[in-house]
Amino acid sequence: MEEAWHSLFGSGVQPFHIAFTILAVIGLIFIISVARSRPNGRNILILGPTGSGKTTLFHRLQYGSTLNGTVASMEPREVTTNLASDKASARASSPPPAELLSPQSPAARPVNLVDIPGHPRVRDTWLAWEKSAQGIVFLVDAVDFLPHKSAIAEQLYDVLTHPSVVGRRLPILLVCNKSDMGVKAHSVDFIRKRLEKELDLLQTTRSALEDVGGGRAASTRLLPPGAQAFTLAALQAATGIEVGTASASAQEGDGVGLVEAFVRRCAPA
Amino acid sequence: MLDYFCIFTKSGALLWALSLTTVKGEPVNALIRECLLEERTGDTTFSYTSPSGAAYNLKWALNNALGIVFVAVYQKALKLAYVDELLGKVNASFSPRYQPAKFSYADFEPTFKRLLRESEERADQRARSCKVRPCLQAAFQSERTDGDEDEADSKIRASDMATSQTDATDLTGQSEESEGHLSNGFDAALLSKRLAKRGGPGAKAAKRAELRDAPKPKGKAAAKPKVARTWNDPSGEPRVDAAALDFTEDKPSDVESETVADFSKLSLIDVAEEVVFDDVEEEATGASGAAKKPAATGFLSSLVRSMGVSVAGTSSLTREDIASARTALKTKLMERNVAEEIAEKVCESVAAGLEGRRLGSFTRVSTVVREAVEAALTRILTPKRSIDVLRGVREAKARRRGDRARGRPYTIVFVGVNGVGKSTNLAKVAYWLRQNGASVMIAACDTFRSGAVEQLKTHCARLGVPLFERGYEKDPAKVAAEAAKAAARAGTDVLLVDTAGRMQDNEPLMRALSNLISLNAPDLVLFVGEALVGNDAVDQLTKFNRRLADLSPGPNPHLIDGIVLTKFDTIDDKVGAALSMVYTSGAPIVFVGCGQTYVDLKRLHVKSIVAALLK
Repeated sequence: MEEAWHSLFGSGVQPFHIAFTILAVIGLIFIISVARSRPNGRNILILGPTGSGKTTLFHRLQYGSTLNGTVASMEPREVTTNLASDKASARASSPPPAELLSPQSPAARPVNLVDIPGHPRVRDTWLAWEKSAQGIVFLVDAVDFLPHKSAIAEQLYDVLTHPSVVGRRLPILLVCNKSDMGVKAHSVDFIRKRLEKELDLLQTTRSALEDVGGGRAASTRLLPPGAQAFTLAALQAATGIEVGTASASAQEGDGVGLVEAFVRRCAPA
Repeated sequence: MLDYFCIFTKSGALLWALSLTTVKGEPVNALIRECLLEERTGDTTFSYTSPSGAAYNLKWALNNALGIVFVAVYQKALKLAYVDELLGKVNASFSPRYQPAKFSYADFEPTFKRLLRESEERADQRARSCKVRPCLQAAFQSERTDGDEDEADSKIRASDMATSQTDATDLTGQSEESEGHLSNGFDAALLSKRLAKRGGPGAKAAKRAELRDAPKPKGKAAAKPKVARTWNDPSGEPRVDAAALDFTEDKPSDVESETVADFSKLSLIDVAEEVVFDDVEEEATGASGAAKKPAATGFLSSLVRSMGVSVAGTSSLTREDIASARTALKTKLMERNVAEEIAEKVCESVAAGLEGRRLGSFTRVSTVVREAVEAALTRILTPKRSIDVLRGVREAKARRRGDRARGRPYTIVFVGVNGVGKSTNLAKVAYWLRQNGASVMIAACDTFRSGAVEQLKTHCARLGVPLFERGYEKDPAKVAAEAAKAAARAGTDVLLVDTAGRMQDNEPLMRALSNLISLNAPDLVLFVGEALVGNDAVDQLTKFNRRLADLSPGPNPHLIDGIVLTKFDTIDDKVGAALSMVYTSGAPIVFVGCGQTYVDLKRLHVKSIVAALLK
């Protein structure tokens, strides 16, 4: 018995060592599992095709300034922060006059911003946050829109038909970025109409192709078949998914207020 | 001279950049999109050609602990020996300055300039100390690589004395080109550039000569025996013995009444199922098993070490830590029938992405490696662009409605080596398209293999699809062109073109294929490859693409758009061919053939393939 014990565990190991180790391991597993679970809720995802300005917007929301420049992102970036404008207002007047703030101050709690890379190979990383997302900001490059409109529509389609988005009716804000480019930038209405047309086409071809993840589920179509042509308004009426539109310039900061308002609405205090 | 140097985070924020000259195009973004995100970091240099034609080489260094990347850009024509050294130095001196919340490092410039000057000086010294020998060596080497690079090139030189006396600059240019060429496998931009370069007067002459030589003997030799075997006599009178052999022509009604395909069955691509593998749960045990080493002294004490658990949570991974997991991974991938070359490249890339990364508390090395591999494989297999055939078909339909004269059908050409199932899977696609409300015509452009037309005839009879055929030994390119016209007249939505199987090394046949594709400008070229293939997958795809690019008469060759993976039901968990093919070509797998009947057509499910690869 003694010999067997020594051959198994080496000399110098006592039974209480083992007991202690087992207890410690159980405790650690518990701690790790708690620590690993993502913070629930308050996640705002920034999605969109590559080059649409997500990283710039992310920085603008977090710091209220611009970066030296950006390159194509390779990894998602997640930050729990107060919005830059909240920080600024807090600095300007602390404590803020009560009448200027709504009863539940939106600046009271930080939000969790996630910048998802736009490259097709890595854009699926947003699925790690699908359960805890409160809202999605979908960025589109208003200047370089037409050559990529079908690719953009495909990405938006995947978002709009995702079970989490449909099931939880996640609010989405379609932001046409780079409005600072003047006449080169397409108008929000133009982009919305083009995307609606593309999505309308996609829902007929995609629903026939679908197979992964449980087959021809009801969620693979945007609208029930037989409905009129697809519009974002019709989508909201039929499914309750609210898709707002906005025009903004992450570089210059114009219109970012609309995005901030959206973020605060999605993640109230 | 260095042109551009930048430092950025993996999440996309540019931290510091210095332009020494104006850089054309977006070399850094191209590097990220085409190399770093494609798991090709095993390479050390990336070549980029801007739209305006400026060629650059890029070198990079990853700092995985901090998640930052250093990139140096310089003219392709230059051979800068000091770039690797410089990257290492900058990495070492920048890393201590890095703070996650700081995005501006303007004060780094003097340090960088000093490092650059030092590196340049050292490189200069080295070059001066041994000036004579390397020069000779370089010349010798360039001559050698030039010689075995391409037969056609050497032919040009042999035939034309004026061009054969090329000066030293030409030689070095050529050797560099071949280097880039070799390191990159295939690269459409590079290939087309090579084509453009070759378009000199000497090249044209040689090409003409080659053309004169090549097709003639084949035409003469093949013509005679083939005439006797013609099924449909052009005179319209089938000879008696030919008629006796021809079963399909005599009793077409029989075939049709018995076996018209049942369209009530859904093609499997439309039904719930996906390719799923069992025992996914086993993965974890399998992975940890690979990491475990036999316990020598004391079970408990060795357990901690053998599992590679990082208790403190601060140690960063070194190459040695990863080495054993890396070897195990490569073996596993190769066991799953991934081509050796591809397995090596993927492992190298994963290792490069892990080196220096910090381990969290109580994470095992093998877990981290496994997660990284899983992410890498998923990234490789996820298509860069989606190929939506039905959408294309719809657009063709709309086009025809708008203008009947220009209304050409959506054309898909199936290419591949012999016996991989081109015709069978073409029939499956036809079945699937018909189910989705498209009218289909099939063009029999396999005018080579006996019985190929009859095989398609049977399929067409069962599917109720018109077949366009012109018998055997006609030029397949012309048959396809005629078929496209006939389909446009008949108002068909989709034209599926079946081609003869050909080995990738068969020059005349590849030339014919390239001709067919450039003449007919199909909407989609699908490469049909069987899932059983191992190391040859890389060779097949590389050569098909290279031949299509090299032999194409036009400036913009149409390469392979997508892959049809066949015989998927026969391979159990040896799904490596999927990875090899996608990694080699960058083209997505559009269809997966997984059975003998018309309904057995599916789409690839990336997650289950990754699970099967790592099982």
